[in-house]
Amino acid sequence: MNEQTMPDPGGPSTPPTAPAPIHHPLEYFGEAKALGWLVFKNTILTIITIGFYRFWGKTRIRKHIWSSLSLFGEKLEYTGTGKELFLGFLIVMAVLVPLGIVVNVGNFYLQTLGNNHVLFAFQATYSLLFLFLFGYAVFRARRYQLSRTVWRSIRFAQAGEAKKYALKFFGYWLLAVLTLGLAAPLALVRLQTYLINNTFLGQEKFSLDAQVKDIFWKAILCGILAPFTLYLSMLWFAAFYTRYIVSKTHFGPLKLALPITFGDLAKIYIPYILVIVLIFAVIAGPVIFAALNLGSIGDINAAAFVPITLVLILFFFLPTITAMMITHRLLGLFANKLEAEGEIDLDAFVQNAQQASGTGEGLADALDVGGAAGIEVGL
Amino acid sequence: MSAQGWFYDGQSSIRHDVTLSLYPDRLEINGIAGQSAPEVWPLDQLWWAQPPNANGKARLALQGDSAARLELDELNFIAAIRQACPEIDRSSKDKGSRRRLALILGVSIASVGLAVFAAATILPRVLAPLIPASVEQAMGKAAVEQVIDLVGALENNTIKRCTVEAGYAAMTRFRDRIAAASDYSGPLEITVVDAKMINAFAAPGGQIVVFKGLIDFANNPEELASVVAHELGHVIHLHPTKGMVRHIGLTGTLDLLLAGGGQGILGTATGLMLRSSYSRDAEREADDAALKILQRAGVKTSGLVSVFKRFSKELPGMPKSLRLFSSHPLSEERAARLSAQSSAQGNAAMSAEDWSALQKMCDPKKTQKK
Repeated sequence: MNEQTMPDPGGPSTPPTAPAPIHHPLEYFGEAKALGWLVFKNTILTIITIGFYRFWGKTRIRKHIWSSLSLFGEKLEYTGTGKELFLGFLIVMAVLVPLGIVVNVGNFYLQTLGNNHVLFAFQATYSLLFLFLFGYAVFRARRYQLSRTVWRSIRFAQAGEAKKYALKFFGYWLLAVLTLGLAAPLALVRLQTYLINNTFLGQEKFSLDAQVKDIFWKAILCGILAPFTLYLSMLWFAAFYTRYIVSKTHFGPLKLALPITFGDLAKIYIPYILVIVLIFAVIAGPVIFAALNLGSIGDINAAAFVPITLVLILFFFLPTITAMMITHRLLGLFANKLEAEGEIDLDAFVQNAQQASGTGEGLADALDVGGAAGIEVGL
Repeated sequence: MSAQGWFYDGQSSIRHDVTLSLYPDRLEINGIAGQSAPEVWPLDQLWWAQPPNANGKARLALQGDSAARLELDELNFIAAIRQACPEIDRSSKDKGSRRRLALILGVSIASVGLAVFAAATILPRVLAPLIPASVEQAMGKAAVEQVIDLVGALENNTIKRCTVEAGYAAMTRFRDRIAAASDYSGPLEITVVDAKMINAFAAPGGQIVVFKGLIDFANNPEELASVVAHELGHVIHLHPTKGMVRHIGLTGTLDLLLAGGGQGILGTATGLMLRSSYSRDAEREADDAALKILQRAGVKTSGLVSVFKRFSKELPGMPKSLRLFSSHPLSEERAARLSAQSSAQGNAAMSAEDWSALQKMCDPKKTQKK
């Protein structure tokens, strides 16, 4: 067997006595235009098919993104299919449709009765149920995506149990709400730890050794400053948190690092927000102006047209803009900055027999968890 | 024909440098470490796990759950594979699933259609009469508040109810008159609110709201009477209650089925269209009821056609797209029906004094001066 070690591209050759080499394991070859065009086509097809295309659309986007990424010189592969996502959606609908009817009808009925205590109790009950389902969805979606991510014919995997994670998610976030956010850092770290400690490539395990106290004060400060900094403190915290979590993550013999800064994220998110504002000003401005004029004649529908137009603009173009300005750039940033320190034998990974179920992330789709690419920054 | 490639066996991450040989029915992979016999892949089971890209890199796989992958980059060889198995560019991970998939998809779309249809037509008709009067009235009150708030937001104003006593008495007299002329025996409450909007609407539980703009717009009391009678027609046919049930049902169904992945807007827009198309039938029913009520009350019915005609004529700045969502669309057909059945024969809807009191109903100062 050739015991090859991936050399650091462009780095100096490593003498045997030197400290562990630092790799840049991830490369991103994607082009913003190609991704944007794909997302735009998906948006149109999704509208034409009253939403049914989205499962195949998501799959195409993931295949595109995954194959634009290479890990230690080998391209990743997304092996999920639209059919799996669609079947997952069908299964989940069987549960969610009756639940949705109960929630809708109950809500309306109680609202008209005007008994606020009963209404509150009802809303609290189903909010808690949805909090639990949300955690379940996050876990199942991640497990599906990892199990459909292949490198050198070896699958990634999310071990652990969806039910367990959902219970933790429910408990910690409920605690966070009850403590007015003070327990949010605890929730973040514990949930992240559960996910990462159960993540595998073949039989090789990822592990996270994060401490709540390391992020506690920064998280609190971020929360306090958010309203005064136009929520930019969230970006600052996201950069810190991502940096921190990755720096405490080990993968087999490798110690990982992702030294991104507030500036890196600001360079991505601020132009995005400006572009969205500009689009609204240019396209929506005249519509609002026209509607205001019509409104003086006094028909309710003229004004009702404004939010519909705004929403349609967002609906048509936002996914494309987000893909080009956020997804694409974040991928580039992460690939550029990710470091792995240590010796690694690329031939040593062995397939794990565990395989996720045949259906996709229906619940996550129905509850709208994460984006098409399933990429979340830090949080 | 043969070429170089790289093979991953799906069990380990070891990269095997291999030699490939293409035969009419199979691909043979030689040189896998620890395996003396060649690995044989039948051509009719191949699919591109990674279709060939611009620089020729491609990844082949076998259909089914096998994780094994074969990478190749020799353009001639890739072309030869394509020639030997013309299906390959259309193949995917699982074989023969297309027909089954189309079936499932068809059934799903059909059931969405069925669910929407049921929520829009059957459900309201069945449920609306079953709702207890007290709930209906509570629903109506809540709806009236909501609409008044919305109109207030649009007109940038806090909308007040008009309470000048003489006008209120005139409205009550008029209400009793048309209520007596109809078969309707439930509660009936007509509220005038001080908004510029030229409209009136009915809410569940016999609540009719008239905007001051409509009173100003009416050329004579018969025009106002026609609109109110039309709204009473809605009340008699339980349209507002049915509308509420339909709204809840449609919003719930569409949002749930189509909501995932941020498609909520689509559901809303579809729901809006459906609701407005159903309202056309309702308008016809309300027109017929209004004609009957006015005739029985001995009021001339010509106001009915003139007021709705002027409605659509005097809103010239309104684009077509908005008319689709308009709450009182006047189709050719509807205008013709109304013209044919209405007549200028009959009495005034109310006395000149009552009409004048109604017109001043929202202005306490004017009345005081007099």
